[in-house]
Amino acid sequence: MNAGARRWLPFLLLLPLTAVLCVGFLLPLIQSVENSFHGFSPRGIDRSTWTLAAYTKLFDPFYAGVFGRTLRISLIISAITAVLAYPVALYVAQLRGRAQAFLLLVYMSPWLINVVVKAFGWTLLLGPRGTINTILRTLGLTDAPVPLMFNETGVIIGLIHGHFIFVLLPLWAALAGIDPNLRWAAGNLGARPWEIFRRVTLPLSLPALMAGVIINFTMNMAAFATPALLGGTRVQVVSFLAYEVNLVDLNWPLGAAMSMVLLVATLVLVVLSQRIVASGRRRVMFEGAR
Amino acid sequence: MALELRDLRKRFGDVAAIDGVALRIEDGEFFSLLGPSGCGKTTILRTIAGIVTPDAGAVVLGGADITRRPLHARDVTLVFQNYALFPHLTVFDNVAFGLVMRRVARAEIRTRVEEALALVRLAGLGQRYPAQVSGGQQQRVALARALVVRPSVLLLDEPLSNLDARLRDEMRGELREIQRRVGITTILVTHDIHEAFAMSDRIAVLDRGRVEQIGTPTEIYQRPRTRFVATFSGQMNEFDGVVEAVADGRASVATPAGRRVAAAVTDDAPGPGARASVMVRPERVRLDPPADADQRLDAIVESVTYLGGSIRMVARAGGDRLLADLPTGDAPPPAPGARVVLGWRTADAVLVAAG
Repeated sequence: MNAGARRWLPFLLLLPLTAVLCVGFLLPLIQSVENSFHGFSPRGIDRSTWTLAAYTKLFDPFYAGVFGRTLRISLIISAITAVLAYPVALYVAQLRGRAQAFLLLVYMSPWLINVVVKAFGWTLLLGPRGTINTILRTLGLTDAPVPLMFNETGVIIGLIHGHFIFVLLPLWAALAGIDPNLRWAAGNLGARPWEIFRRVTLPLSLPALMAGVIINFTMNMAAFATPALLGGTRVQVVSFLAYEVNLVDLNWPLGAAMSMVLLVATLVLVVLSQRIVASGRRRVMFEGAR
Repeated sequence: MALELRDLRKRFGDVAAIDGVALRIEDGEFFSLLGPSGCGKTTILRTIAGIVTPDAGAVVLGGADITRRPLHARDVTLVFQNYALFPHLTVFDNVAFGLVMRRVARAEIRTRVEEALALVRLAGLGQRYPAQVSGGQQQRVALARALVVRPSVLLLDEPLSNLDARLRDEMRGELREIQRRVGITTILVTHDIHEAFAMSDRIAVLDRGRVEQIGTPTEIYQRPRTRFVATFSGQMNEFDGVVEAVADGRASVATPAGRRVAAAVTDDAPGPGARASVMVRPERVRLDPPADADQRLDAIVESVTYLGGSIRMVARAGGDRLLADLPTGDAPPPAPGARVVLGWRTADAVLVAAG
């Protein structure tokens, strides 16, 4: 192979995927950006006018409320998942190789099941006559069924389950990769177990935790089927509303504007959280060093 | 502070990593645990540090039994083989770690850390991260981090093995110098005989979890008491046979080929009838030996290698192959095939039991 060919081969190999992404992702995205600035009439999108009407409409309490709910639910899910996944990752990381692989497979298994099937499974558990409410009634703990579905609780439960692995996996990898000598060294220098965790294990795993939480958060923001099935019409989230606006109302400008705001809001939060992680790594333990 | 190990034992599955080790390290002593990989030396060190809990036996520090004391409550610090510096903390914070854990006052932490960094010649590098300093500097950060808390005992786990040869020689001297200046009881784990010889007051040679011999570097090298110590600590000429007689601090051994070789012995040497080996270091073998070299044999030169400071001669005497490290002189060494007389003093030969 001559030098010229060697230089161009990587680009050549990248070409097919780049082409697919351009046609299937980038072009529709650009089209959506354009659509969001067009007018809308009952006959459909009006490509002859340029307006911010679609964006202004998002300030309506209804749409603003849906955005607020989506953001709130996504943050709650990410926070709860981070708290739940950390001890699991700690536990898994200290097991032997084979047990680690097995347990990770168990935690990964929900991801292997179709999201609609998963949501339906949850309705069997969470419904008014579902397993959980039956148990509560049998034990005499409640008289009326506890509402666990068709509200935010249902969506949060379903998405914690569905997106758990995205926090667990990077966290486990980081924790398992920490040189055990670092913990021994901290203990040897007088750190009790809690101090070892606070000063060594936690800071060294924090970047991975944040990476996992960011992935988890973007997945929550974009979730469609689970909120639709477990939240019902009363707990609408942006992705589901955008689907309705686009495909039921056929209001493409408004649908596009919603998608754009969802995308930009998510990106901003991702970039912000990465900044926080980066600055956290610069923090010193003993400020007297300054 | 003096440290004592009493009949220490630890098994990992079927393997006895420490198989009844007892020794006493005096206050201020530089003591080495020397042995091949798998001899249990690192496990002993980790037992002293509290990372490994022994199955039996005791670790006694300055008269107090610390065998069951938790890791963080021991007054010994360890320099890890891979240094185990905290990658997310600066050099300064790495060194300050132990002091922060001991709740030392802020102002005192600063002065002590600066002192420790100056001691290992790292002043001014406090704000770097471990990844931003060289391997040799990382090694010294680890040393400063261990010394700054003024522990009773300093433990060094192959601290020089990750450095290149030149830096290793330099650090060897520096480490010993720092240890002398601080006057701290130090235990070094190493598989490198030269490292152990150059730095130690005393050495314990270990094999398969047991102490083979404890002694000064000179004793270990010149008067090895077991076959393992003799061969691990350097090259040896060996004459295997049966002890014929022991008298006046001398034992004579008869080899199957009918040769008689003598060695100086102590009281606990193998007695008559025992299978044993007489061993002589190559540099004790002389060419055209003087009158006091009472062990002599005729040999034929096989090869001669010029090594600068010495000449390594390989010669054959009957069925025995002999190594001789001869001083380089003005006269050219004998050529291969030449007939020579080689000899050594009985006092330079040792007797060890057959392995």
